[in-house]
Amino acid sequence: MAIGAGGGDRLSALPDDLLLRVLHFAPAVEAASTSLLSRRFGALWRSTGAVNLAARVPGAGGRDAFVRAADAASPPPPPAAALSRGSPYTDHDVVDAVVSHPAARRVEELRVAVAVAVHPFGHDKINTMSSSGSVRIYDIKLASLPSITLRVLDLTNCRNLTPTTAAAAAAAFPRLDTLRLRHCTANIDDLHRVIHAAPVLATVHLEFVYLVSDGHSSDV
Amino acid sequence: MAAAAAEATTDGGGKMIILISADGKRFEVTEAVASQSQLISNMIEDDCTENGVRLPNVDGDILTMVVDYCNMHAGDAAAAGDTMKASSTEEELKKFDAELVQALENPVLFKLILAANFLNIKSLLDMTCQRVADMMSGKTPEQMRETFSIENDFTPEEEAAIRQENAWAFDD
Repeated sequence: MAIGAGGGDRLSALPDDLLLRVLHFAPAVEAASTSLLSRRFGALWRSTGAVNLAARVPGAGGRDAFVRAADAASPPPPPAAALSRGSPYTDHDVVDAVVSHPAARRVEELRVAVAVAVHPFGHDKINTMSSSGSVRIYDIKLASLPSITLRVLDLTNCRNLTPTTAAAAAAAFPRLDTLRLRHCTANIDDLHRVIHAAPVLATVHLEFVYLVSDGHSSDV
Repeated sequence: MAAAAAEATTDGGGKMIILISADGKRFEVTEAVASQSQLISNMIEDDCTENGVRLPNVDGDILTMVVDYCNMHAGDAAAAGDTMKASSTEEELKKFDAELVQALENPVLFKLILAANFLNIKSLLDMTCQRVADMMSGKTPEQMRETFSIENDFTPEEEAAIRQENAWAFDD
């Protein structure tokens, strides 16, 4: 076995599949930054076929939104995209731009988790409210999504799952098998439209989803 | 007991098998406990555990931890055999897992990952990989190198190019 004695670099000595498993569990920023550790990690990160797209929201600090998009054929970690830490209301165009970027067109697994940045002075109230289920901060535009290849769609803190006419057409999500909504607000009719447009949908997971319909609403 | 171990059975399919570590230590466990390893489960199905299962990749100290873990997680299966303690509650399990994983440091942690992978025990593999991921969390590449003794073999030029390529991940 290639593992040296004592305190050697046992992480780098792991086989690729195990290293990828570790990276899969790591936060996305840290996982991507391993490309800088050494040649071993640099090559590994490139072999995932991941594409990193950065988008910055003016006025908010640091890594506001990014997409890790990957080729349909790439090995694990699963082709996935994640968005996080946007400020409410201002970054819709950024998210749309990233998700609809040509490099993201073949994404199979898309995770959009909108979190409200916690500011030092009181704005964390918004955060509390969003997790208690009363504030939905991102209007997801289904038309922007890579709907043809999408297999898993995982949305947190999103609202208005309004499909466009094109997306509402039969089988707009031909490969979608898992739909997960957390802390989302959705119109029940829109949700039905999405489900109807996904012929192979096997799992629908709703967690603290606020379903609205004409005239009444209910929590699930 | 030891001589008859291979034949011994208790209620609920609690047949015992012997696991033998790389350094020759022997561990007697029920099939139900050992079957949490997909590798051993397959061997049990193929009826090739009669003379004990030799695990040349796994040292005794690591196998001790694996067996402890499997005993603890045998759950419903363990309740069937009266020689076993009653199945652990979920809370006990969580506490056990948390303590196990917290106690893991560099050399042992990676040996356990390799053992969990070899034995194909998915929950243990996920838990140990998660622990490594947690050790990366919140660290800069420099801090990660230090934590895991990773040698930076990039030239400064290469490093600068990668930094530029993935600038979003390296902003502080």
